[in-house]
Amino acid sequence: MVRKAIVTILLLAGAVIFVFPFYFMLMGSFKSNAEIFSMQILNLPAAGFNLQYYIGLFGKSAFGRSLINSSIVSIIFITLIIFFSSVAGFAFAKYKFPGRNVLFVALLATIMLPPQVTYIPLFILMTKLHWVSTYQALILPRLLQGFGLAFSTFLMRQYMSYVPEEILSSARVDGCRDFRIYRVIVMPMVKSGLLVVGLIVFMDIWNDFTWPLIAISKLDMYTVALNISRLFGTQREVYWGQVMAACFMSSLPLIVIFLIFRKTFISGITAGAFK
Amino acid sequence: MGRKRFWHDVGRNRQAYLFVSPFFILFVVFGLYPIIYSFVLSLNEWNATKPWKFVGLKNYATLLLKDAVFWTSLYNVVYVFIINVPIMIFLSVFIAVALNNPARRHKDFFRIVYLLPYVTSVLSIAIVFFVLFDDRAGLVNLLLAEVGIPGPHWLSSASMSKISIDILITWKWTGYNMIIALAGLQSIDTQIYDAAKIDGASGFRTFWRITFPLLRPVIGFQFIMSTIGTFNMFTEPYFLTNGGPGYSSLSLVLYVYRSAFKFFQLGYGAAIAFLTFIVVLIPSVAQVRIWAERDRTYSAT
Repeated sequence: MVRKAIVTILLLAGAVIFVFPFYFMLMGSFKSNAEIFSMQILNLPAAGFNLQYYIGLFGKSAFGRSLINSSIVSIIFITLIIFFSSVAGFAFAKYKFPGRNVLFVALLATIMLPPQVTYIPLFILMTKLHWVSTYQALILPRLLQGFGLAFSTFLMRQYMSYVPEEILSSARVDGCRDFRIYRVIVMPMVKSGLLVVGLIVFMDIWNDFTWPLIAISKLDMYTVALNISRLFGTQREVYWGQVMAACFMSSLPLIVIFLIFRKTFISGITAGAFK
Repeated sequence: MGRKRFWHDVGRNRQAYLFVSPFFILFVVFGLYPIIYSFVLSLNEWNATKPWKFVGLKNYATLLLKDAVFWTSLYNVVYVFIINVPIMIFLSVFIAVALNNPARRHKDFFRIVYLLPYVTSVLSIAIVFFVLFDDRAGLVNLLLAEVGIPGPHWLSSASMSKISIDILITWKWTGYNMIIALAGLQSIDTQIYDAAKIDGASGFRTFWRITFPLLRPVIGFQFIMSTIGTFNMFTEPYFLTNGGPGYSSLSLVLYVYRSAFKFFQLGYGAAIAFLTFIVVLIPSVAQVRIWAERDRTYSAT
């Protein structure tokens, strides 16, 4: 009994530690520097819930523009990943073509490729193509990094393999073409898999920092992450309340989506680790 | 399989090749080509303006024999890894075991709260930690002062900067690892526990003799992913300490970034990147083998 109580207290203490930085971010976004760097951070904001820092963000710091950029990049990125990974996952799960296993292991191996090996040549390539500070620079090379196309294909293949063989063969007998089978029959059956891939990939691209830092130099092409980095590091006087407001704004979409789809997120995490 | 049969099979599966082709085309352009380019570049000296100068293995020799900063950054990464990984895996398994207890209530609440850090960007959290761990007026040291403990210089001393990065990484990734451990625990057949109970084994003994060995593949996965993650870390030191003070928290990737994009030593930067690639190759190959293995058993059924 005592032991159970101790474990409960420890779990609750852990919960406080895990939530506190979010509370700090939110409260900090209404506070002056003097309040943030003192015990007053624990109190409610002295000036009330004044939205001045949020308004300031959308004024001269071009935060709105970076939100639009991040959204455009995320939407195109997710669409491409969903399409490419589901067709490839379908082929890997349901066709016995020569070289399938070799190609699949090759695809798995690319997941482990540390992206820093490719950063320098990719930057040179972007320069040659005149792609520096463009959407395609943020999207196309990024398909190969992190939770990109390879990992998504790996996940999609697992979901595709649950599609019963009989349905596919009867569709073939009816004269259905391959792509039509994929589009009309298979896609509706793997909706949950598509959602898992979409969510994990969205989290990855929205939070990405290193590649945009290299690929983007023009301010009006900044992503949210780059804009926060600019507020944090390169201005003469840092308004911490404004930085906290930016951090909160960039975290909010993901937190909301996570709370809505928490089960899907959890199954996405475990699908990567196990079957 | 005869050659004719082989080409027949290839022809019959044209569609399948078409379906998998986008990945491989993208890989050749944005993966394979850059890697080869990177290796060739690492054998040259290049500062982005003058033409390339072939120097053979000189960049590698300089790195391994003369460059103390390279060894410091490798040491830093290993240090962060050695402190972080055992603590994080222990915590994640502890929490998972506690949450896996059927008598425990509000499991969903804890799972959600513990996973919040995972969905938040490293960048936002690193900035929050930067404020919280400020030497003079950050909340952590203010609270320590309240109870009469002089707070350490978390971010501005060489002895603490790596520890601060460890705290950040542990905070961010414990929940993720906990979910993986929990899934591992849930796959263990509960009958084993009933048998252990009948035999009168204590809770602790049951954990060490039954749970822990059965969790070994899960812990293996956590270990490999953490290794790769730590060796590739960039954003954490970039915001929290900017690699400092001095080089005390410089990571390998941060060093690549500085050499290439701040000092324009592109050949040298490529050589550092290639060495870090070789370092993470071993755990990566191990994980790919596990995945491929599992995949084989799984496509056979």
